[in-house]
Amino acid sequence: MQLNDLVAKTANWMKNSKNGVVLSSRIRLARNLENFPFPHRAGEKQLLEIAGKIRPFLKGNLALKNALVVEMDKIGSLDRDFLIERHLISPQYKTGSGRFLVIGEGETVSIMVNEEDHLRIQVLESGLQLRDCWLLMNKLDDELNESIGFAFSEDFGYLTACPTNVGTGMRASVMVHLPALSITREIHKVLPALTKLGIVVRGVYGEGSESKGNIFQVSNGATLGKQEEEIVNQMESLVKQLINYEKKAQKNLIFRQKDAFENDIWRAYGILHNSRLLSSQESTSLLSTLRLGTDLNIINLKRETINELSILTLPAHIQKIIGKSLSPQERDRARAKLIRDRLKEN
Amino acid sequence: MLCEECGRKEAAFHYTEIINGFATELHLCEDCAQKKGINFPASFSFADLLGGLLESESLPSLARESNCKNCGLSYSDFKKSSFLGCSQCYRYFHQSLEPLLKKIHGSSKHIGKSPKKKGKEKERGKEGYDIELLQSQLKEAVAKEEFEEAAKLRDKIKEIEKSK
Ligand SMILES: [Zn+2]
Ligand SMILES: [Zn+2]
Repeated sequence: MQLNDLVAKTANWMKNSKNGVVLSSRIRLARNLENFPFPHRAGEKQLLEIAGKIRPFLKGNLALKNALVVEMDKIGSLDRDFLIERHLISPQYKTGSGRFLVIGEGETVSIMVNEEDHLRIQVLESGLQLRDCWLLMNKLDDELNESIGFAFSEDFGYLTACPTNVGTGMRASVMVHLPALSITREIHKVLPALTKLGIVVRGVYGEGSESKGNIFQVSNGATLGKQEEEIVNQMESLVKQLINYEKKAQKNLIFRQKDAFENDIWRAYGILHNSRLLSSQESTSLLSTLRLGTDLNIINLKRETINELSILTLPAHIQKIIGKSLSPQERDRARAKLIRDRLKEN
Repeated sequence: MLCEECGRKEAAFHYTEIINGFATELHLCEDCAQKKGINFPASFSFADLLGGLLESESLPSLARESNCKNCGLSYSDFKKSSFLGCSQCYRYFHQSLEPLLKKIHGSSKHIGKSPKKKGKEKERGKEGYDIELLQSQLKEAVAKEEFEEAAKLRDKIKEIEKSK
């Protein structure tokens, strides 16, 4: 398999989920080898040596032996942006030798080697599946530790480059779609309350806490002083509350302004179905409205279609699909066509 | 509901303020909420906070002087970048890190999973091989990129583990 093969594939986390509010769940672990300097302080020779300790593990691991390995010094900026949009690498991941990305079957498991830590392991699934993500992660972590051996202290747990990740080294996060809370501005009450509980909230397609597609990433703040299962359970129950708030706000919207609300949704559909030019920002916001219409059975579309379109219409994805680099105007045209074609199929 | 402040625009912001122990509800339009400085706090990350914490911290003099013996990082390097240099840094700066971790995480003691330890007594396979020794040989072979040798060693380890 090659990087380009991913373009036409639907990652497991984009697939249909039972729940409309939670798009995906992710567990990420930070792990480091003993004695080696952390990547930011390691020279090229050391980065290569660290990388060399991880490669043999992959070959011997049943789940990862056929994984796609992407060498970060061998890809261009478009491929990088593509991987960022795909949630497979962070924007901070540097290029250069000794850094590579491992992508497992269906993009559920991925590993960044020599990012901020020697290993950043990710398990990503659709819907609210933090528990399952953790089970899979826990096993993979044991296997990796068996083969490589991780830096660990009895007091501080797993040792990481930044002390904000030390302990479990675990970040459990969910991507949530909160259109009704955003429209009613209830979100301004909900998010600060989460923040007070030590939960970190980020807008996904906007700057800081602003979110263009009403999509937010919610994750645990503290990584030390709690057990992994405890973090997972707390996150899951918090997210369930968040789902309830959003559902309530959705009902309220329909109850109070049914006509205006349905009008918005069908107009969004009309624009997406007929446009000849669509900016990334506009399509992201219209797709959010369409997703809400789908969740409320006002419009009959597959959730998976919307999940896919939300990703495929991002700038790097559009260019990978067309197969060359495009000017913003050309992108807007290609994006509009892709959405028209997909909606026609439905 | 109309904004309680200007009485003209629709109230979009419903806010509960605690004044002298009494909860007072405020219903404001967006403009008035902004004027009153009631703003939705920007998302904060712990990494952002860390810079602030490190600034305000007074250091035990001991930590200020010594460097990590493994990677050479000094505590003031750490204060500048917010990054430690290697896993050993946590040992050398243990004293200074403990209160810092408490501030960041609300705790400085790990209670989560720990790496499965290879038993203290060396496990021996039926042929008398020392698994730990084989494993360290394997690591060495891998580090030297002698993959053929490494594959042999791994197979041997697997065989022994199976026969247990
Ligand atoms: Zn007002
Ligand atoms: Zn060090």
